[in-house]
Amino acid sequence: MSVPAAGPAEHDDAMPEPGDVQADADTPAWEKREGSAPASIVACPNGPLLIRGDFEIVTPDGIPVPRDRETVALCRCGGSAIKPYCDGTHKLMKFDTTRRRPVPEPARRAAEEAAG
Amino acid sequence: MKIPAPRGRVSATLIDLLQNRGGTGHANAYGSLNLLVDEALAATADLLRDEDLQLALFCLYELHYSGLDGVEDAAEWDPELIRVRARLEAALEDVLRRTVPVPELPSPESEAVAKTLFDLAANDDGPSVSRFVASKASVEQLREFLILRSVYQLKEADPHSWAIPRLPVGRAKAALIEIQADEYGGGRVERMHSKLFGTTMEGLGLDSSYGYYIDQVPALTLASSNAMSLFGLNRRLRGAISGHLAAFEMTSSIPNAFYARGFRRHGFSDDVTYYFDEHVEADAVHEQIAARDLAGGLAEAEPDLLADVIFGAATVLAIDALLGEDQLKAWQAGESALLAPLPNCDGTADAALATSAAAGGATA
Repeated sequence: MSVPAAGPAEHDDAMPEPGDVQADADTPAWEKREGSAPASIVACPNGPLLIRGDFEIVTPDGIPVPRDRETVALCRCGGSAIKPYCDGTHKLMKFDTTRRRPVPEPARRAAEEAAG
Repeated sequence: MKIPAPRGRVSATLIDLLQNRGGTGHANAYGSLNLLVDEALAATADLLRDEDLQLALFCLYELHYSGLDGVEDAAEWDPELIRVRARLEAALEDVLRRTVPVPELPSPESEAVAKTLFDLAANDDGPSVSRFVASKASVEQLREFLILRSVYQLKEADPHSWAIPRLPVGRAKAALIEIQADEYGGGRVERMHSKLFGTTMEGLGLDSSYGYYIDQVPALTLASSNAMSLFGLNRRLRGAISGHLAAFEMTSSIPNAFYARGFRRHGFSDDVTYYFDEHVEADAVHEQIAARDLAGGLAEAEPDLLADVIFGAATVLAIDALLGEDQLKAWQAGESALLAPLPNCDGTADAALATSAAAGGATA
């Protein structure tokens, strides 16, 4: 677990050393620390972003956001009272992830051409 | 847990037999217990609210959990007791299969199953105990609420853990383990959900030892626990216990925010509300995993279990609706939702409450 279970009271010295991350990238998979599976994000239909693996959530100043569990659900409907985490409010809001902003015609054509 | 007080001839005979296993007249005792069970099952008007039969089944299941004080551990696998349990649980399963409304089955694919379960939970219009707790419940009613919930919450997650060795290696099993690890505190005792619930009970001056209030709890609450044990302890019902957990998680995060509000309204500290606050966040994670990976993953791996997955989920909503109905009816009439009001409600418990509220810096 790369994120210490600490509140904002702990400062920069609680942060992982930058070197840790560098070393990790060059280390063969079999030598990596236990629990260092790369982060993966599940975009739950009509719901939150579910994140597992090796990641940290920090404030813009780099201070870890308190985190109590390995796998977290991040709010993406905007309605949660416990942001950045999900509190299930998307269900009351009828949050719908299938609705997309319409893409303007020229942009769509350009994207289609780029995709071949 | 302590031996409960009997509530009729079946539970009286069973409890007597449990305490005197191996004594003289043993064989006859089993014979008369079987006869009494048959008679009671034939005569009961409402098995889910039958005090005698639900208590008897609860005691038989309890042998598989923490046991009953003074009863030999070996009683768990006494073939005669298993026979009685099987009769009672067949009757319970029959009632649930006949009365629980089940939606149309989706295709056995993860996303379709998740959608059916989320829709089922969203369309639930059962009576809202959580809204009552949030805005109206008195401290006495909060205590009753905790006592009713304590039957399950003090062994939270245990009935669903029976499913772990019963699921095939794959997505559903991984999902169940991920959820259960979090339920049990992720390796930290102080974060175990059952432990947190005990802290909340103590904050209201209640005893948090498992089964302490069992004699105050009505049959329907025991039936709710018995349904979980029925699904969990029978391998053939592994679909139902998986769907049960999914619906449990999916009907939890929002009500728990309401519960927390109700306790804060009376000035209880964050230590007391922590159990509920924790569930808002935890179950918003769990419901996603439970719907898609546990319930959906199991339906994909074993399509024959799809109907039971949905049945197990629907059972949660159906029993919750009955429980909510009984609780709100009692509270709105100014009565106790327990079998008998708490004996010391204006004595030592209030003193404990005052201490707890003061310690939390509350101004209730």
